[in-house]
Amino acid sequence: MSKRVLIVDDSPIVHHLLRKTLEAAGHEVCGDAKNGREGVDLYGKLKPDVVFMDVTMPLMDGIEAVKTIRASDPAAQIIMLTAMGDEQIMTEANQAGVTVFLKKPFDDYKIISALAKLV
Amino acid sequence: MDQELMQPYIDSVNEVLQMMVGVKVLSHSVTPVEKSEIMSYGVASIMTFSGGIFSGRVVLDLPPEVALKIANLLLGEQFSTTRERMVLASISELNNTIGGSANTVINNSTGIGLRLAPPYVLTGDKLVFASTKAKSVGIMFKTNIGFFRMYLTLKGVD
Repeated sequence: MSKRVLIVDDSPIVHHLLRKTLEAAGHEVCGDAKNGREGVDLYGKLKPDVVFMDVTMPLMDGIEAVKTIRASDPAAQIIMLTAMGDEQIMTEANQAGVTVFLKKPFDDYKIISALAKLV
Repeated sequence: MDQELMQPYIDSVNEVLQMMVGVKVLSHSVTPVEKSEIMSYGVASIMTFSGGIFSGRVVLDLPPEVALKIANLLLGEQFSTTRERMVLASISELNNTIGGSANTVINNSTGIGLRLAPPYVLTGDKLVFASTKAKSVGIMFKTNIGFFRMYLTLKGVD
């Protein structure tokens, strides 16, 4: 089933590659944010089905953004996609309310199969 | 620098290049960095990290033609100059992924808790960057699309 997706990452490369993968699989990218603060704002406005969220970003990092989004919408579906995947960050991400945790580098299969697991 | 701390970066370069752009590392060699100023090959991505009493820096330094090949492979487009935003962003993302992956291994094995800062990238002729006061190593990688060098600095580690 097609999903509306918000991408939150400070790298234009990640936006470009994710958009290509998601659109080819029939999903819609409804918004692009380049830091956690923008991501929180756009989440409130766009109400996407799923968020792809980086961890390391300027202004507000991904963990804080997940906590803020979850506080306003406990049903938010958030996929954390990050180069940092150590046990401490994974624990923080789980406690913040991340639905799925993915490590970079990523490929099409990793992205699409993660989306398919979401309700 | 301890091989135990350097090896995750070498492994990460191998894995990330192969997975992100299908580039194969043919060989690598490690040398200490003696000079206080380093003349860049033309495109340099710099990323710092810290955790507890430790801090460090990863620099990827590439000739323009190698940076262009990586961007072309990553994005499936033909770029002709390193001054294009997406070329520089490609090298930045490559450095971020290599550093993040290596620091993940170090954090899981030592519990240090290194955290990355967003990387930045520079390009230009006769680009010079200063080496830090801490000991650094230079790692030259030869690949099937050309060579590049990584400068790795870890403060708080002998």
